[in-house]
Amino acid sequence: MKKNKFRYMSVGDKTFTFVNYIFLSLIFVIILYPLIYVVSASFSDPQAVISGEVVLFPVRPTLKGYKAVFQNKKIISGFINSFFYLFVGTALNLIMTILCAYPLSRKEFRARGFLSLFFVFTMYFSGGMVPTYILVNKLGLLNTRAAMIIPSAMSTYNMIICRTYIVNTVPDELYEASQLDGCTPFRYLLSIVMPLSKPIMAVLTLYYGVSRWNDYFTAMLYLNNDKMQPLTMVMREILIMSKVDMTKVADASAVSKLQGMSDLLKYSTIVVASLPVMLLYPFVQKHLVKGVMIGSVKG
Amino acid sequence: MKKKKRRKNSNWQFWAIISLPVIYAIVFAYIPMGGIIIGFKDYSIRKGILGSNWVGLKYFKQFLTSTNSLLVIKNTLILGIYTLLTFPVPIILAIGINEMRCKWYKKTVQMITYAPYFISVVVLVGMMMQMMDLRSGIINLLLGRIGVGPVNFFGNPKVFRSLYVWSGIWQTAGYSSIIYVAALAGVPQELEEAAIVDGASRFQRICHVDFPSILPTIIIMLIFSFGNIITIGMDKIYLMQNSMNASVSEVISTFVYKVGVVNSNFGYSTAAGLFQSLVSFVLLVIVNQACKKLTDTSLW
Amino acid sequence: MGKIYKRASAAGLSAMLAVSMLAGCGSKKDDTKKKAELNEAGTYPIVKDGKLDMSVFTMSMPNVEDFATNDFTKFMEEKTGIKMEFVTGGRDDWSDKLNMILQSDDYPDIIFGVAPDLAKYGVKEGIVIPLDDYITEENVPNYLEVMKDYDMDITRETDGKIYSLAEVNDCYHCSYGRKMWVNKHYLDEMGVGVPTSTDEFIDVCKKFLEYKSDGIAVAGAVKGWFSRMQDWLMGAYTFIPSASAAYNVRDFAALNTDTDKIEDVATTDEYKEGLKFINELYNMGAIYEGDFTQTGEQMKTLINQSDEPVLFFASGTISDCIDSDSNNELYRHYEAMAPIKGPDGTQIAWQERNSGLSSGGVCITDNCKDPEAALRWADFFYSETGDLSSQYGPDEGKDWELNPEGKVGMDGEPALYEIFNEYSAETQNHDWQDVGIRVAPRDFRMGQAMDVDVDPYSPGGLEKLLYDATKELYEPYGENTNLRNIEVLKVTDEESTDVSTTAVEISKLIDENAVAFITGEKDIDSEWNNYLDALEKAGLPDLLKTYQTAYDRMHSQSKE
Repeated sequence: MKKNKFRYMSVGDKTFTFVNYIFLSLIFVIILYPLIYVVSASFSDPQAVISGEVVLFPVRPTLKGYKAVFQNKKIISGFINSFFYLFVGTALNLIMTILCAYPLSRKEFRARGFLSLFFVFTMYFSGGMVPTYILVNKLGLLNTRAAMIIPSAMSTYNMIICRTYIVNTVPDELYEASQLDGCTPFRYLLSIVMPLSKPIMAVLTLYYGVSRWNDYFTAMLYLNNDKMQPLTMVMREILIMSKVDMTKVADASAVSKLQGMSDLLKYSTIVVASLPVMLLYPFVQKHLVKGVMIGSVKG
Repeated sequence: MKKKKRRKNSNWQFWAIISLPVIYAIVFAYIPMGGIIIGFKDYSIRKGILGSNWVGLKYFKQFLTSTNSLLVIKNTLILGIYTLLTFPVPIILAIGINEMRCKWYKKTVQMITYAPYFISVVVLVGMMMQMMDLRSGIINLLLGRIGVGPVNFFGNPKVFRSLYVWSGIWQTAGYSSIIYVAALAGVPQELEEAAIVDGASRFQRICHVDFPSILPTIIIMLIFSFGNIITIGMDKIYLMQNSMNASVSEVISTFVYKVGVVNSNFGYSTAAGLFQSLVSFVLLVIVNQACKKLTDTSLW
Repeated sequence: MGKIYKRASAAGLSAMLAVSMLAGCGSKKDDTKKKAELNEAGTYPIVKDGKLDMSVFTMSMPNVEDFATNDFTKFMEEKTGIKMEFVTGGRDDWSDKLNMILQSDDYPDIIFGVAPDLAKYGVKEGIVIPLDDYITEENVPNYLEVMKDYDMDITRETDGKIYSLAEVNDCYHCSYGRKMWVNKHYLDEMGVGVPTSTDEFIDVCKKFLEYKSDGIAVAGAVKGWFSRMQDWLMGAYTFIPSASAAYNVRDFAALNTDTDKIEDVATTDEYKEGLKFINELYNMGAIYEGDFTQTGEQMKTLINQSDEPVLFFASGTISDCIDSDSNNELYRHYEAMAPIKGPDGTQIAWQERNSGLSSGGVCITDNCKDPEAALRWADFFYSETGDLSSQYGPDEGKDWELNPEGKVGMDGEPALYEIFNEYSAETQNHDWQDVGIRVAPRDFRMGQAMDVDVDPYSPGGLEKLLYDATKELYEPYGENTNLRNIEVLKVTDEESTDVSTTAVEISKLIDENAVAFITGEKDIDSEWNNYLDALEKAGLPDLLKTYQTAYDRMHSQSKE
């Protein structure tokens, strides 16, 4: 059936669409402005940034900020490490999440209620940083890439979202139909639930991916070796380099050449650090499509 | 007879599937949880957890009886409830996006709205301070054009709460809406088409088809939100605090941080954290049970 | 269902017990390592044959690429025979990381350049060991030489024992760090001189506001290095101490040298008068609203605006607010000014008297098998060559040179050394730059060869600018008060637990009320007593008592 064309819509629908577009455009602009500011500032002259001259467009455009960022020796390894943690970590996340969400979504699973509580409980009660650190230490994971990936293997919050999605999109009739065909829970998971869960997997890829990419605290705590530093740490170091502690410096003229640029660097580092993950979105978007369920129950 | 046997069989399969996550939770969540005991002990590293002296509720008392405690808890609750009230925003945004016909505009809006989530808290607050600067901030300049005097956003306690909550919306609305967009994508096409055939307007379709379909998702998210009322994160508020807005901006997490940092007193910060966890969890249980009774959906 | 619950809770309990036992048997140490044989004291290498392995925790900075492969590290390894393994934490995170590490079993032998909470980890837990028996001529000759001019008792903790080697970093201009900078350009344009008293200050502000109606007379910030303008203005009435040594909160506790008692300045009448003065300025419109909420960065933006709005601003150094490189014109408009005189003649410059001496430079943990070797390793840094080598590189003659011919130091005396390989803004791997401990007593720091004719307002002339400003405008007024900072205060772990919340609350009360009185939100005359009562109710007397006990205890120790 052809999509409704604008001119064929009723008056009510027309107003609705109109209002919708205005509303969303407003939100769009409100959100967009500060983002444009960040990008513009990152390309502007340092003095202009300091004095607040930058309003919307770059003032006296320069690549100084980016030069300083990319000249840093650790930036390439930072990118590589971050991508590694992103891909391996997110893959692990997705596997763990669906392994957990699927059984909890099936009414026949008798331990369903208990286990749901079991997992949700961990969201609110935690021993804190110190016991976790001791644990990671005792497991021999300190200063390894595994420490960046394994302790955060699953987020209960995301798992519940996944479970909710499965419960509401994969109808029970489908399960019963498959049972008649002799389908085991394993097979059901692989051949039916997973393909149908593409939208939620896309969402979770985004949620987990962003969280892993932006994480610097885990790296700070468990990593020592500069070779394994993710990009966030490298960015942080660049910012630190541009701020000088006056009490420690013996010769003030050795004050960092980057100091004048510290405001500019703030913005350049954000752009460099955030851009890769923001570009992840279009790929994920492909899977957020309507009408996935067509044809699954018929017959 | 046959059905029962199949059920029993399939249950072990479910256990097998979920075994890996369960092990993970035990190792990385439940084992460290033993550390909560630190909140009840005068923890000495030498003596270890079991050997340290039991001080019972000493730290809890210290936390709850300090002169500021009532104010701090009140501030936390107010900010938490205020944030909760903005719960519908991502939903409305998602519905709006879903209704867009023009594909490329839809994609752009989505991408832009979720971008703010990437901006670190430090930069966000810095930007806010700059935009709302008394003299040079663009917001006050615009207000000046329409004749409103400069507003001291960061110094005026009355404005602070709104500033905190709405900047949070700015940062997270797009990101949170993604989950609703995904849920809307799962609305069966036949239902939509049936409604159109019945002559329902767009607005009616939203109310009667889209909304009920995503209601379970909304309920789950709502339950979570209630559970999070009291756990206001520290970073953002700490950066926004100053002596002028302190009467409304001092919350549990920032106060505990200041005391804890001063003293590396793990007992105290663990006790405060435990207090927050308990309250959150109790709230969560209450809301969950209520939802269980009223609807089909609940956390467990 | 019931069965499952039972099984699960049993599993859960046993898991909890398991971990408690894991954590409980925390103190098992590996006693199988043998003690190394050391060469004669004072000679290098330190170890008799082969290498000795040790681990050290230190703060890392971005301009050192990799400690393990650093040229200076290798130099130390060859010289001493001790191979160091490095555990590092970043500038803003090392404290969290160190706390974590010390909670587990696996902590390094030496803690270098930074220190953990010694009351907790030293006195209470014994994880950091007392060094009294090891501080001998044999082990640490260079250290003792440096400490001859200083009071080693500063490094004694509450139980009277020494838990760390001291660090000396005497930054002359920092010891008079609270400065105010004035826009001389405007003063000249208006035809007035730099104000020297509170009355003159008011007049100048008044004139400025007439001259430039949208100008900002006094700019300050809440977060920044000595950027609180109200503290500087108070110098005309009383002495405002810096943050408390024990709790790092602004509780305004100071030591009265006449009575040897600890008082709280925020309760005195002089303080009240000072608040009234600032209130007067505020009512006049001289104090910018944003001073109470803005960060140092916002103040920087303010000062750098194209219409140059600011007349006075408070900062430890002008370079924090204006960049000499990119905005040299604006930079030249400002100069430092001396403290102003109050109505009763009070004119106080804030001073820090411990000459940069602080404890916690080097600590040894109980994991270390060879404390003597560790201390001898650390002792190298206390020699002149050691300090220069670690910062600028080990190549004498190439990186630095001692006693250069015909060069003069900052204080005008013949230079003690000259630097060729200066600090780098980029990542390098030749030396440790400013990581680790610095041993820079005042004479040594002043002894760095300087270009005497350098233009103070050029980017390279900053040190001279600050030196001159400090010497001429601030040092003369440092002794005008009987109040002092409480430079060092050691509190026990138990004392801390009792009053740590009080300290935070007191500082909040003082701060919030000060702002309220200045802005007129609270009327100072009618509300003053309520304010004093609130402080008392919050526990100020207890806090002062705790400080007094700690202070008396420290002093009885040093008399021994």
